Amino acid sequence: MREALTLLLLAAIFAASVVNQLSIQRWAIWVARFDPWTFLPFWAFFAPNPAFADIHLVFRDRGIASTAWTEWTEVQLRSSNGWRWLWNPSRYEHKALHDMVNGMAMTAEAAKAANAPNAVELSSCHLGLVAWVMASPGIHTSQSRQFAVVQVVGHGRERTAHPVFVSREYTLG
Amino acid sequence: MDKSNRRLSLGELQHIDALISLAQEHGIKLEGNLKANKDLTCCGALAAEAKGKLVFTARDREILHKMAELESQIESMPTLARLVEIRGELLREMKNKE
Repeated sequence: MREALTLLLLAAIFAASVVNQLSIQRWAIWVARFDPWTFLPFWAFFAPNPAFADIHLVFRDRGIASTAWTEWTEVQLRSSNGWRWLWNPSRYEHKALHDMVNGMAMTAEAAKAANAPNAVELSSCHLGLVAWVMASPGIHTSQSRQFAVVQVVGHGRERTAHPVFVSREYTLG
Repeated sequence: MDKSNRRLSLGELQHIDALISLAQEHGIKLEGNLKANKDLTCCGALAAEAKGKLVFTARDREILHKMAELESQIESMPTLARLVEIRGELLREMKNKE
């Protein structure tokens, strides 16, 4: 009896997992209601549009009683070397940056759709980026800091960099 | 080979500075350029959203409206601690509503 129930449960999970791969809106809405932790797997390997840009994080500081900003400085991410196929801890930083920027973009799009623009600043992804930038070493006399997200596309001479998000000014400390 | 994920050069940083200054001079907000690379990951919310599987409920929309309302009340140069505090207040309020 127990074996039969286990088999039945596993078969149901398998069937639900198969259906979950299909783009059925009514199923997605139903599953979202009963599966908030996304227990059912869903795969979408780099389709239909693979990632095309790299993300960089830059910041600039302003000192006490100063109106002038410092030059933009890039937040240091660990670089990978030829052994990255074996040991590559830097991928966590790069992945975290991509995920936080993507999360922020998704929140911005959802907020726009919900007619609630400017609802990005209190999102967990934006707060994560602020925390990351604020923890970066700067000039010891700095009082405030602003950061920007830069998207880099292409290689070699075709490489172009342009800012896609500029934060407000935050007080350090 | 020149990789696109190498660090930004001094020239690129100056170019970025010029673009930001120009946008600010003309009152253009760059946030509109922020687009999610929806297929970057193999699983999770990003891929789900790309396939139209991410469903925003009425409660999610309510949270977004509340976030927008709170953001408009934030003082000009907040600290990170202040932002975290405001988000905490928001989450507590939403939990109490349940």
